[in-house]
This record gives sequence, structure tokens and C-alpha cells, in this order.
Amino acid sequence: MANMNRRNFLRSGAATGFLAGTGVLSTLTSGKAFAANTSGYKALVCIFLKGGMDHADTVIPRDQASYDLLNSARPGLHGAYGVGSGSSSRDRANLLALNPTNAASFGSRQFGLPEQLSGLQEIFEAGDLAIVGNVGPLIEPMTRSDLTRVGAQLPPRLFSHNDQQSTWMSLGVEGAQYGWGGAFADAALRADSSLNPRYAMVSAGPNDVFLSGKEGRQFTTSAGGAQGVTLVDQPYVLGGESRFNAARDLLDEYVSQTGYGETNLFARDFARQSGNGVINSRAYDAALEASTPITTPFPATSIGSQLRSVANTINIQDQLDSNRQVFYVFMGGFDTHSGQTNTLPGLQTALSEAISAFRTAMITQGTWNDVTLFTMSEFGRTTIDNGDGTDHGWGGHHFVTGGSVAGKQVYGDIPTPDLNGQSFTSTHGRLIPKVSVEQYAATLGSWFGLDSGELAAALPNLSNFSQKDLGFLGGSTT
Amino acid sequence: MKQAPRKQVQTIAASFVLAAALAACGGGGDGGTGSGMSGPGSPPVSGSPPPPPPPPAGTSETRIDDEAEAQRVLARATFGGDYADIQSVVGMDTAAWVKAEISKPATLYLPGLAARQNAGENIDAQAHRGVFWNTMIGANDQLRTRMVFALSQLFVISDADMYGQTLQVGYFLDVLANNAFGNYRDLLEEVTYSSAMARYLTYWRNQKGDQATGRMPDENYAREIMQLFTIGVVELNQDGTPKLTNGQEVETFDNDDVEGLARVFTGFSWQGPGFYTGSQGNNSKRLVIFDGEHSSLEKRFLGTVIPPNTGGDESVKIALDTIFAHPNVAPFVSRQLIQRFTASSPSPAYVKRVADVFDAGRYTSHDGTVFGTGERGDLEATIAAILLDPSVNDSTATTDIENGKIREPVLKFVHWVRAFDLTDIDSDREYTLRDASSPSSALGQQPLFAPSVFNFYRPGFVAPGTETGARGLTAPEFQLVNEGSAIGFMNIMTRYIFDDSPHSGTAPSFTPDYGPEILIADNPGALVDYLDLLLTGNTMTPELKADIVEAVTAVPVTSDADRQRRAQLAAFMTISSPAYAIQR
Repeated sequence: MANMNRRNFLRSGAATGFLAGTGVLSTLTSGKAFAANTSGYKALVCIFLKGGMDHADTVIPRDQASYDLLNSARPGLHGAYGVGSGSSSRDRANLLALNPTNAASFGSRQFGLPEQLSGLQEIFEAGDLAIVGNVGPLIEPMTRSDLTRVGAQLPPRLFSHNDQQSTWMSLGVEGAQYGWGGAFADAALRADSSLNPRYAMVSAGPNDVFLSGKEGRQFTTSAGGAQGVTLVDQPYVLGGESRFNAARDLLDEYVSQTGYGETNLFARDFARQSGNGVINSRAYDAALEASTPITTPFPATSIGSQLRSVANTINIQDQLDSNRQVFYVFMGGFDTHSGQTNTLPGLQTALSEAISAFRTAMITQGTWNDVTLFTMSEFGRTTIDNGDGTDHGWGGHHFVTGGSVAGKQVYGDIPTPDLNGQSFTSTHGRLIPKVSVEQYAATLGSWFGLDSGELAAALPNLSNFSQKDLGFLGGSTT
Repeated sequence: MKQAPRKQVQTIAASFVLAAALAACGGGGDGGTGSGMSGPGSPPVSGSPPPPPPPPAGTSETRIDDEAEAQRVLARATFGGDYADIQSVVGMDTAAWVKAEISKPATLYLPGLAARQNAGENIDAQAHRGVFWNTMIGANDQLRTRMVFALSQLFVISDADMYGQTLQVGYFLDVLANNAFGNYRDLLEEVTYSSAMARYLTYWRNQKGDQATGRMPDENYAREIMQLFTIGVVELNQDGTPKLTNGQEVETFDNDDVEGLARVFTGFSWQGPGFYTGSQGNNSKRLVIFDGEHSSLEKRFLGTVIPPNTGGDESVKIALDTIFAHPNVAPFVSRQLIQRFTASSPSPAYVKRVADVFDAGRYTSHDGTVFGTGERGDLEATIAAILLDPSVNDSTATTDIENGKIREPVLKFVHWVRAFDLTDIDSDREYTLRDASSPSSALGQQPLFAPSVFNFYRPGFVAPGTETGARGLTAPEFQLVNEGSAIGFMNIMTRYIFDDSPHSGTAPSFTPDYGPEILIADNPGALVDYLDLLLTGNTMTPELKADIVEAVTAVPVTSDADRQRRAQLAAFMTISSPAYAIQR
């Protein structure tokens, strides 16, 4: 093999990298006119709340009548919170009021957030955050009476964590290979060949299906930014003397290989992933080193460091040739079957503080209008408690924030907790979604630049819903 | 730890060099010793018993003919071995080796932890983590310990929720170890009555429903025991593929089943005078059910109806019998156990062979060795069927491009420790091993600390944008082993290979022994041949070998320190390679 020094190698990697990065993926030349708008910079940031976020302990009814209904459905849980003591974060009087500009459409209904979400409440009131109520997987519109209708189409494997995570991310149960986050990035990559497929889908969390696309591959960035290969980059490890340079140069080439002459398919995949991991990280590192790092403090939490990584990556998007990016971060711990009062408030604080810091960083960078951050979670939870926790549900409420968000509004539906109503299943008070995941996604995708054909291709059941845009990003809702 | 005296190791290495030199004269890149499939006409010649009965259908000969085959058997069934271990099994039949492993006494976890606590040690909340690493690295009952690790990825608890309760994890590990070669039905019951599982899946002190307040029992365990531990979400054929009705998958249960079964898992608590009064000290004992807190309502699920006022233990027995009787259990459990040992994407035929054995409870190997009691769910028979299957033992195993297991990071790490005879093993002192979860600064995997009950990866994961994915092959471990974790793994291994792992105290810790490699480091070809055998079972491609030889040769040698550098560089390159990553 030719002996190249690292600088030469990096240059050649940068020159040939884009095609190599897609490996076996199709380069798709179907002749279709791709129309995604890729002007300017736009980023979508998904925060996945794993475990199933209890929407009813997050966006809480604040009018007396609805609050009393919730309280009576959750005697154990609210008891554990000390509701009635006057000092509980879940006491009605202590809820942070939301004053949506569309309050009129909810009549006497009022909503509040627990004090742990004070950051989100401030952003809501400032007009940069919207709540989308009762979102969940649907194939077609659904109510309680529809559930028993012959021929009603329900999403498969409801209430199952992994399958509903997969459904939210990819619109298919576990085993699905491509996510709609990846599909959105694909649309931009197909429309604009100058975009770099290596950094169009960026995870600061796990390797989940949401970002999996056909035109590019997920890049993973760690909390401390990407990192070099110690044995190559730190001469002291092998030995600081120059007589070891030749071996290090060869090693440098070795770790960025994607072949090794393997025929076994698993070995070939491993080699390609390992080599691309090194190549992509190094180019990312170089861009990071050449930039001025962001200075906004982020909380020392997992979600805080993940969102800092996202902010850092947005900060260098110009060097990465990535003016359309989809990001993925996550939080775990929302499966609050038991001890909900001990865990959920802390998660809410972490979420709220991290999003607040992220917003500050984006405003400082001047990119807040170009970024839309939103939450997802595999399901909401039962309205009826099981003692000190709640069980798996279906629909749930979500947050969308960014400078382009038509905020200070509640979209979708937040049904009053009348468990006999059409919005709830007949047992345990599981919310039947009013808004499908695909409508939620389509609204985001439309802002991201996809046209209606691209949205329809990425979201197979969207055609079953008359409203394709919920309006929370300023799009037309008709 | 397995510490061959240094002199003996050097002799071994010297003999390898001689053997390698001789083989090199033969020219074959594969060592030239054949792969154990010498044809039907040449059975092994050990002893001369009366003519044996014809071998059972679906089996094939499993004699370990050479060192490469020995390495591969050990990689599949243990946490790897050193050169002496490899040599020690050459000539054995794998069936006899498996049988011997099964008969070894179990290494247990709770007694040691409890003894430390009783001796006054203020044992750390995560003391079991160090004990588990030490056991994987040093235990004599390697196959059983591999089984414990495999079962811990099926019956997932996360010790993150066990803070301050290390003894309860010790008890749980003992349940897995004691039942590793027992019956799956018994294992299921003992797991159900363990405090660690009850805490993790939140049925510990789970109250029965209350019609006055509307409170319902916690549904967590009811769902996951079906979905993850026994039958899965859709009906399966015996070969593990989904059954289709009118082209549609058929779900095994619905939420009504979950709600009905949830009533069964009520009333569990620690032993003690009352539901709320058992002492935490009893978290390392079997749980009990307080009938006063156990649902007295009818329990209806999976077509079974438990009448009202049935007691807790009786209800659990009926429930577990009902679940265990489901035909999905054999293919569901068999496929996942295969994935933990031998194949990331086992063929449906392989799954069926093992599932049939799971149901029959007995396996007879090619040489007539009988495994298992004949009772459905026998895990001794099941593991024998997995390890002795023709698809992993025949010569085609190394050439079939769809065969192989992606090794998860824990296996790759522990194998390295064992192969290089590391000394000063006290895993508790290693900061990395206290939590190796980070993919950027550690291994990306910590035993007993999966992110959720869905384990580190899913058995049905198909990696997008890959060649295996294009063929629909499952690749669970690629959820951990991928572009994002490539550099992190290289870097943590660098610290260990260069004896620079972060640890507490100033005493040496995890010290590698490069003695054998230093002896042959003047000959890079021999060094790489040796590592090819030791770490990959001679599965390196010629290109890979040439790359490593070229880099190693570029390290000039003027001293033993340089020879050690060569050994370390070669070890790093091997451990980063696809040959080491994919066990065949």
C-alpha cells in the first residue's frame, strides 16, 4: 500500500469521501425531479423521550373541573406527590400557567406545566414554543367507537416499547430499516448534490432507526466532540522518537481502511463502518478545531451534553457543507411504572434546562430561526394510576420549539380527563391519538423544505388525513 | 486467573514459532493442517469401543483437529483462551468438551459478596460489577459463565436501579448460574421470584387493584415476561420466522391479556412479617407473595382463566405454565441464545434444529453423547445443540459469507485479557470496568447495565445501508459496534494494550504479558501468524496480514522494548480488525 502521511491522506479522503461514505447505498438516478428546497440553513432536532412520557403529568389541566377529573383518576400518584398539601408541584395552584393565544378554542379549559418545566413555560410565553396535544401513531383517524368498527385499521403492536419507538421513528414496527428523519435528509441530499451526505444525519445519542436514510449514513458525535485515534495521533504512546513515524503512518492508513479483502458479509460491514467512522470523525474534528467553540454553558446532564454537541455541530455546518441536517438526541427513564414522583420531575428539570441552554446557544449563534427542536416518545401513559406509577398508553403531548415556531399556542387536542369520552380507551384511560405522528412529521418536513410528493413518499399514511400541516411552523393548515 | 508459569509460556511460544516455520515451508496461508472435515472415511482413532450406533441425523463430526479449530471452539463457547488453552483441547471432541464444562461446579456470586459484607467490608453498591468481570476473566466454568452473560441479556435487569443493593444482584446472578443448564421453566420461576427482577420491572410491592379508587395493578412485568422472556409479540414457526395468516403476522397477545396477567404479579415482597415490613436484608432471598395484597379477582389471559380467590403462588404457577406451554417459547428462546454464542443471523434451519431440541429436552451428538433430561425446556440440551450444530462446526463455517457472530465489546475485551494472560486482575480497581457503557471513552457496553429491558441491542435488528442488511440478515451487535463507536473502542483498547488503563491505587493493574510475542517479534510474519491463531482462529485475510506485517516491520528493533512495541502494535491492529470482530 502506498505510504501517505496523514495530511495527504486527509486531503484525499476529503476529496473522495462523499461517495465513499455512502458505500453500498444507492446513488439513485431515477430521473424523478426532486424538488426539496435546500436554500439557506435548516436543522431539525429530535429529542426522543424513551420509556413513554406521561403526558398527563407534564401538560396538566389547570381549570378546576378538568384538574379534579385528573386528580380523581390518580389518587395514588397525586397522593405520592403530596397534592393537597399546598406545597406540591402538582397542586393546581402551583402549576405554571400557559396563556396560549388560541385559548378561545379551548373554552373554559386551562393548562399548566409543573415547576420543573419552568424553562419551557418561559419559552412558550415568549412565543417560541408550541404544544402539540395528543399525538400518536395512527393509520387512519380513530375514536373509541371506531376501535370496535369492523375493518378499523390500527397500528400494529400498540403499547409495546420497542415497536412503538420504531413506529414513531420509522412508521414501522421493530426491524424497520429507514426512519423519516433519514428520509427528510435524503430528500435534501437528492435535491442538492453539493450537500455532504456524511453529516446530514447526526446523532449525539444512540444508533436508532430515526436517522437511517438511503443517501447518507448517520454520523455520531460524542459529548466531547469527535476524537482522534490515540495510537496514531499521540506519538508518545508507541514511542515519541521519530524512528516510529513510519509505523504510525502505516497505522494511520490502516485504521481508515474500509476493506481488508474480506468476503464474509459481517466482516465487510464491520470494516466499512470502522473505516468510515475514523474518516468521518477526523474530518469533523478538523472542522471543529478550525472553528470558535460555542461558549453557552450547558447543564452537566446527558441531555445537556448531547444538545451541546448538536449546537457545536450546527456551529460548523458551513465547514461540513451541510445546510440541511437532522439531529437525534435522547433521554431515558420515562417508563414510570413505579416511583414516578421520584423520577419524572428530575427528568423534566433536565429536559427543560437543556432546551433552555440550547435556545440561548442558538440565539447567540444567530441560528435560532433556522432550527426546530421537537420531542417524541413511544407513547403517553394511562390516565389511571397503578399506585405510584402509570402504565403504557398511546397518544401523548409534545413540545416544538425554535425561532420559526408559531408558538404560544396549543395545537392538536388536550382532552379533558373524562375517561368515558371518545378520546380514551375503555380501560385505564389511554389516550386515543387525535393527531397522527405523520401529520406531526409532515409539518416539520414541510418547513424543512420537502414538497408534498416527498412528504407523501416519506409518510405512507399521510394521505388518510385531510390536514397535512398542523400550522405550528407557520405553514398553511388547509 | 489462568497463569501458565512464564517459562512454560515461553516454551509454548517457541514451539509455535517452530511449528509456524514448518508450516510456512508448506506455503499454505491457512497453516495447512486441514479443517477437521477429512471426509467420511477417516473417523478419529481414539480407543476402540464396540462399533457405535450410527450418528443421529442432523449432526456432524465435531472432533477438534487443529489449533485453529480449537481457537474457534473456545471463542464460541468461552471468553477466549490463551495459547495453552488452545493446545489443551486439540484432539478432543467438542461434545466431550461441552459435557465436561457442563459438569463443572458453578461459580456463584452471592456467597463471596455476602462474606465480604459479613467480614465488615463496606462493599460498594456496584461491587457485583467487579466480581462479574473477574468471573468472566478468571472462572474455570467458562461455558456456564458465558451462559450467565447470555441469559443476563435475555432476562435483563439494569443494576442502575439497584443502588446500594449489590447483594440482590448477586442473588440474581446465582439464579442464572444455578439454572444455566437446568430447565427454562424453572429459570423463569426463579427469576420471577427474584428481588432484582421485581425491582427492575416494578412488581416488587405491586398492589392489587382497588375498585374504590380505580387503581389498577402495574402491568410492566405482565407485558415484558411475554414479550421479551418467553413468546414475543407475534406467532412464530418452529424455525423462528413469523407465522402469516392471509399475509399478516398474528399477534400473540393483546392488552386484555396484559391486564389479566397483571393481576397475577401482585403481592410480591421481601420476606418478613408484612407486605411493607420485610427488611432490605432479605433482598438476597427468594421473594414471597402476601395473599392479602394479591389480586383475588379472576385472571384471564392467553386463553387461560384463573378463578377468583386463587392464591398468589398458585396463580404464578398457572401463569408460568400457561406462558411456557406456548409453542413460541422454543424458537423465541433458541434463536436468541444462538445469537449470543454462534451466529448473529442464524438460518431458519439452524433455529429449527435447536428449537426442536429445546422441545425434546434431549440432544444426542454425532459421537453419541447425550445431553439433557428429556424434559421440554432443557438448557443443557439446548446449548449442546447450539454449539455442536453442523453449521458452525463444518468446514463451511469459515467460508459461508452469511455465517458468523459479531462479537459484542465485552467479549472482545475479555478475550484479549485472557489471551494475553493479564495479571493483577482486580476489576473493582479499574475505572473503565466500573461503568464501561460509554462508546466514546469506554467499551460501549457494561454487563448488567443495558439501557433498558430491551437489552443492548434487539435480536431482529437489521443494519441499514449494509451488505448484511441488503440480504435481510439480522445484526444485533451492530447497534453497538458501528461507525460511531469505532474510534472509542480502538482508544480504550490502546490504553489496555499499552498497560495504561486508568485505575485506583499505585499498584499494577491489568498487566499484560508480552513474553511470548517478544520471543518472536524479530520475525513479523511469525508474530502475525501467532496472533492470527491466538485471536482469530486463522481467519485473517492475506491482505489484512500483509498490512499488519508491513506496519510491524516498520518498527525498528534494537531492544526488547522495541519488540514489545511490535507486539503491542500487532495486537492493536488485530483487535481492531474485522477478523477479530467477527467470530466464525
